This record gives sequence, C-alpha cells and structure tokens, in this order.
Amino acid sequence: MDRRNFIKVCSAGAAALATGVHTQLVYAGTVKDFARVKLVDANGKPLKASSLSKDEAYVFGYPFVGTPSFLIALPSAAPAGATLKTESGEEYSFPGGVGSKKNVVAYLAVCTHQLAHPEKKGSVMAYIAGNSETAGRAVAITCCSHNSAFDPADGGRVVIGKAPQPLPGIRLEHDAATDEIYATGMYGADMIEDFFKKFKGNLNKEYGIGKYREAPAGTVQAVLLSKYSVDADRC
Amino acid sequence: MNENLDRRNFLKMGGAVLAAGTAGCATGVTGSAVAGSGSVSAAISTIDYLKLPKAKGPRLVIVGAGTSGMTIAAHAKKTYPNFDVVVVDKRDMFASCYNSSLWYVGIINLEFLAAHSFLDAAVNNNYIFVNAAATGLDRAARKLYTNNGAIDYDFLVLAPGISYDWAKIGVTDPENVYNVQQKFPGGFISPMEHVTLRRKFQEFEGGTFIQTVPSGNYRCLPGPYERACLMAGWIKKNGIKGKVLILDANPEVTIKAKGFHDAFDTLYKDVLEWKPTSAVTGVDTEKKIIKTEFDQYSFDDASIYPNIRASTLIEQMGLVDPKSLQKEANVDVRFYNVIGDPHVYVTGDSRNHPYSKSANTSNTEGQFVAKVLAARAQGKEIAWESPETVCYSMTNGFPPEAIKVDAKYTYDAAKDAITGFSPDTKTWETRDQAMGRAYLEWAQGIYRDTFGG
Ligand SMILES: Cc1cc2nc3c(=O)[nH]c(=O)nc-3n(C[C@H](O)[C@H](O)[C@H](O)COP(=O)(O)OP(=O)(O)OC[C@H]3O[C@@H](n4cnc5c(N)ncnc54)[C@H](O)[C@@H]3O)c2cc1C
Ligand code: FES
Repeated sequence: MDRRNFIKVCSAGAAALATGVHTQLVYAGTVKDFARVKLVDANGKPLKASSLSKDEAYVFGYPFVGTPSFLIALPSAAPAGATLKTESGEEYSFPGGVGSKKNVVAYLAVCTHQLAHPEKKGSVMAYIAGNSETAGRAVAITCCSHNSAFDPADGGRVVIGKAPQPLPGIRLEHDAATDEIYATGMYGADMIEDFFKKFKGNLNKEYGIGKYREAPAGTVQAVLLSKYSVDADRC
Repeated sequence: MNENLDRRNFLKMGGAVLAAGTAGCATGVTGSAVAGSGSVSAAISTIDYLKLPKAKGPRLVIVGAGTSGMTIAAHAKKTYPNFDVVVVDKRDMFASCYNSSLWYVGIINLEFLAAHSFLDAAVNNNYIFVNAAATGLDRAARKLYTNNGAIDYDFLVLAPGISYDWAKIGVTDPENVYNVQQKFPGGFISPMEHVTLRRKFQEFEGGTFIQTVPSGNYRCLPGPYERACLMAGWIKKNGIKGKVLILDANPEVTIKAKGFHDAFDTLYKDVLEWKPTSAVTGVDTEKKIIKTEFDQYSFDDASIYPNIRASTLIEQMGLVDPKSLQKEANVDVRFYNVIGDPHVYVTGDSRNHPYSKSANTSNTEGQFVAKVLAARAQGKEIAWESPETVCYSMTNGFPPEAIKVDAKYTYDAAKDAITGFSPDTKTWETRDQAMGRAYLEWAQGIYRDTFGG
C-alpha cells in the first residue's frame, strides 16, 4: 500500500465511523478519485441500494459523461478481498459490494478486449443474472462482441474470452441512513484515454464536441440497460 | 520510362538475382528481367535498399497489412517496445473483406469498410508503413526484396493472405480464368471484387443468380452462404422474379448448418435453392453455364468462388508445405516460424493449419504471434495459445439478424498437430437482431484493434 492509498483508506475509514457512510476501500495504487456524484433515476429521484432491480444492470455516465458504467445489484453479497491484476501487471484488490446486503457493485461498462460498450443503438455488453452461455454460469457481465465474460461478484475478473484484464471498477459509497449510492472514483485498469482516443468521432457526434469529457456534477442518472439501449445482446 | 528508373530497377533485379545465385535460398524474384544485360557486375556491388530510418531495435518486418499482419504490427511493439516495426503492403487503401457482403444490400456503407487509414495505424502503433510489394526473400542474408528496394530484418512475418486456385474448378485456360475472374468474381480477396458484386446485386432484375461454394479449407466458411442469404432477401424484398442457386462442393453446409438451413427453409423457400455435392468442374462465361460432375446450370449472373490456396507469394518464396493441398506454408504448428528458421513466420490465411480462415482467427492468432516474437527477441519461449474463431453470419438482411459460432482448437502434443475444435465450442443458431448488431460491433472491435493504437 503506498502512502496516497493509505491516507485514502484511513480517511475513508474514519468517515465511515463518523457518519455511517460506507466507502469501498481499495488497497492498491490503481485508484483514481473522481467527482462524488449521487446516483438518481431518470426522474432525478435518488436510487436506493435495497430496491434496485436484480435482473439487469443500470447504465450511468461515469466518471465522464461519455463513459458508460454498470451499476449492478447482485443476488447476494460480494465479499471484498480478491486480488486482481491489470494487463500491465499492477495488482489491486476488490473492495466488495456496498449497501446493507453488500451486494451493490459498479464497473466501467467498456470491455477490456476491444472496448465495446453499451450504446443507444444497441449493446453487446450486459449483466446476466441467470445463466450465461458464454460464461458457462449465472451472474456474469458478458460482451458478446467476441465473447468475453467478467465476474461482477469478484471485482470484474475475466471468466472467459480474450479480454486481457478485469473490468475497471467504479468505487461506490453507500449512505446507510438514506440507502443512497454515490460514485466517487475508479480502480483497476486505466483505459479511459484509450477509449476516448478510439471513439472520439462517435462521442463528439453523440454528446457535442468535447462534451463527453465533462464530469457529471452532483448527480448522475442511472437507467436500466433495457431503457438505455434499443436492444442488448445476451450470450 | 526514364533512364534512371530503368537503371534503378535493373540494379534491384540484379541484386536479387545475385542473392539467389550466391546464398542458395533466395527465392521469388524471376531472373528473366536481367536477361540480355551486359552490366551484371554493376549490380553485384550495389544492393538497392529501400530508404528507411535506422532501426532502433530488432527490426520486425511484416508483409501484408491485412487482419493478421495489422494485428501483429499493433501488438508487437506494445508487448516489446524495443521492436522496430515495418509493415509492407502492396495496397495503399484498406477495404475490409469481412463484413463486405453486408454492404451489397445496404446494411452498412462503404465508410464502414474502408474509412481506416494505414497512416493512422502506423502513427497510433509506432511503426513505419511501406507501400510496396514483396517480391523475394533471401533467408540466409535476412533480406526481404520489394519492388521499391530491399529491407534487412531480424524477424520477418509473412501474412499475404490467399490466392484463388482456378484449376481446381476446371478453369485452366488463361482466357477462361480472366473471363471468370472479371465477369463473375468470387469476392473473397480484393475490394474491387466487392465493388463489382455490389453492382451486380443492385442491378439484378431477375433470373438465376448462382453463388458457388468451393471444397477445401476456403476463406470464410459461412461467407458464400451468407451472401446467398442476403441476395435471396434482396430478391424477396424487391419483388424480383428471380432466385439464388447455391452450388456447393460440399455434402453439407460447412458451418452453422442448422442456422443456415433454418434461414433457407423459413425465409427463402421460394427464392433460394441449395445443391450439395455440386463441385464446379468448368465455366462457360459466354453461354453462362456452370458445369458440375453430373449436371450443368445456366445462370443470369453469378459469383464464382473458386478453391483457394495460400498467397502465391508463399510459393514464390519457396515456403510451401509439400503436404498442404492448398500450397500453404510449412510452419511450426504452435509458433508459426518456418520450420528450421526462427526468423521467418507465416501467419493468417497462408498458414498450413486447419484453422478457419477468418478475421477473428487471424486477430487472436496475431496477438499470440506478437507475444511469441516479443519473447523470442528476448531469447525466451512462451506456451501455445489457441486462436479463437468468433464468427457471425447475417442470415437475414431485412431486418439484419445474425447467427454465431465461437470455437477454439485442440493441440495434440503427441502428434504435434491441431486435431480439431476444442470441446467448449459454442453456436448460437437462432438468428436475432441483437446478434445482427453485435456482428457490426465485432468488426469494429477488430478495426479498432488493428488501426486504433
Ligand atoms: C466477403 C468476405 C467475408 C468475410 N467474412 C468474414 C466473417 O464474417 N468473419 C470472419 O472472421 N472473417 C471473414 N472473412 C475472412 C477474413 O477477412 C480473412 O480471413 C482475414 O482477413 C485473413 O487475414 P490475412 O491477414 O491472412 O489476409 P488478408 O486480410 O487478405 O491480408 C493480406 C494482405 O497481404 C497483402 N499482400 C499480399 N501479397 C503481398 C505482397 N507480395 N507484398 C505486399 N503485400 C502483399 C494484401 O494486399 C493484403 O493487404 C471474410 C472475407 C471475405 C472476403
Ligand atoms: S470487445 Fe468485448 S469481447 Fe471483444
């Protein structure tokens, strides 16, 4: 643990003690802080960790407007601790789920293989609560583009396929008093710039020139994938 | 032609021929061009090199900027930054072969296939792109010859793709070959074939359109069936009084048979006929007749996909595996180096493996070969990894709906051979629109991987 993370971990721990707010603790040098934003629904109402759909993922633009992430309520708690490794060899540990059931997790919804991600016109990425043929199991994030699958209950670890590293995690914070959820940063592989580089043209078209790089302020809308994309492939 | 150019070309040829004569294993450049010249000695002292920046590390030269070569080029330097990578291709404009049939019926536009620049790929991935044709090889001197000069290499990858083998469908006379090739292109190698075939689709007003399917391990097993489905859908959608006839050399649809038969039976019952075990044995382009062993078929228009073989460059360079029925290269089963030569590799559709000749195979294989090269440049070895064949087919164009297969391969160490698909091979043969969209994303992923940086 380096000094920067040590401090982060300690201060987060202290905050948790003082206020009942639980921040995911990430013990590694791969953490990046981003704006702290509250997750709200399409009408601006805060999402509650204990009443999220368990059938599919929610999509929210984080840490930037143009970077889709998945918010997922798993069927059961996702314990912290698993050690993960980025393609370049950096190790980090999965901070576990948040919420009263410790089952709420979030990941950047950009496949680490060739950067497929949910788009309005359709998605090849999906969270599958039931059985995934590609993953050969239930509870998986699949990318049907070239058939990679990730384990959302285990830090986004690669289950199968040519994806070279786990999905980057979105660090969440849960307020036990209100049951509300905040996104506060990212951990794991740093692939945002690569994503921007490869999709700049499309992102400029979709969000307005340069707008995709803006950080959401205060709140961010998270909508079910089935509402976000016309159609999602499941495999 | 000006004198300088003549002289320069003469020197180039002279140098190459010399290499052939002295090194004993230089191949590929025909000697006839220097015949009659009296000044061979001038060539002997001069080797006309292509002018390149000085190599900053082990030089990796890659011939062929197709799926295979581009993948290796993009990944080699990422894996081993010391590599000095040079990519050589004879074409200066990329147009994707995979997904091209979708353009014929308007599912994608030309930009989808062709708005990918070799210049951007070179900048994004830190290599040099040379627009030249490889013409010969001197393995003893580790020298590649191109029409623009020679290049020394430490490692050489040859990924020149395929050539057609017309003789296998009874088309041998050069006049017949050119007639078939130009009038009824197979559409599995070059962009110009696609431009012609698209025009044929758009201009088809009725009658019989024949799509032939060759035998052997031809490029893109589902490709001709997919194209037939798209044509049948086009006929149906536009109310054209016509049909598609598939003349298939094989006894069964070669891949995703269930998904294709389902489309033939449920979508195209009246507009598509599939004839198995109907290998083409001759083509009369004047009378528009295709002959098979027992029958002959008249057509109004056609896409005649002959058998294929490894690119003729592999033969010119003397690298053919004598056991290969498709003149593919004799390379190590796991690591792709020419047998006995750890400096020269053959990948992509020129390899002699029983792998599906497809883009996903070349892409995943290329990522592995980049690792092999990086390891070997550092005196190391790595474990074998199977390529993966994820392959979609649009069995319906209106609306676009696809099926898919996902296969890896099994290596048998005792036989030192690839013995078949791995047991975890999966198929999705009930077509749907989500897979139709995923198909487009699949291709874009590979374009990003190979061009994006
Ligand atoms: C119509 C069609 C549909 C297809 N559909 C699919 C599909 O759905 N899914 C799939 O996975 N695959 C598909 N494929 C197959 C896929 O495109 C090929 O298998 C794959 O691109 C092979 O890669 P390669 O690098 O070996 O060869 P290529 O991509 O053909 O590249 C060879 C390169 O070598 C260059 N070259 C050749 N000779 C020389 C020389 N002497 N000097 C310099 N350069 C040279 C050529 O110009 C070319 O750029 C399809 C192909 C076609 C044509
Ligand atoms: S982009 Fe996800 S598997 Fe290839």
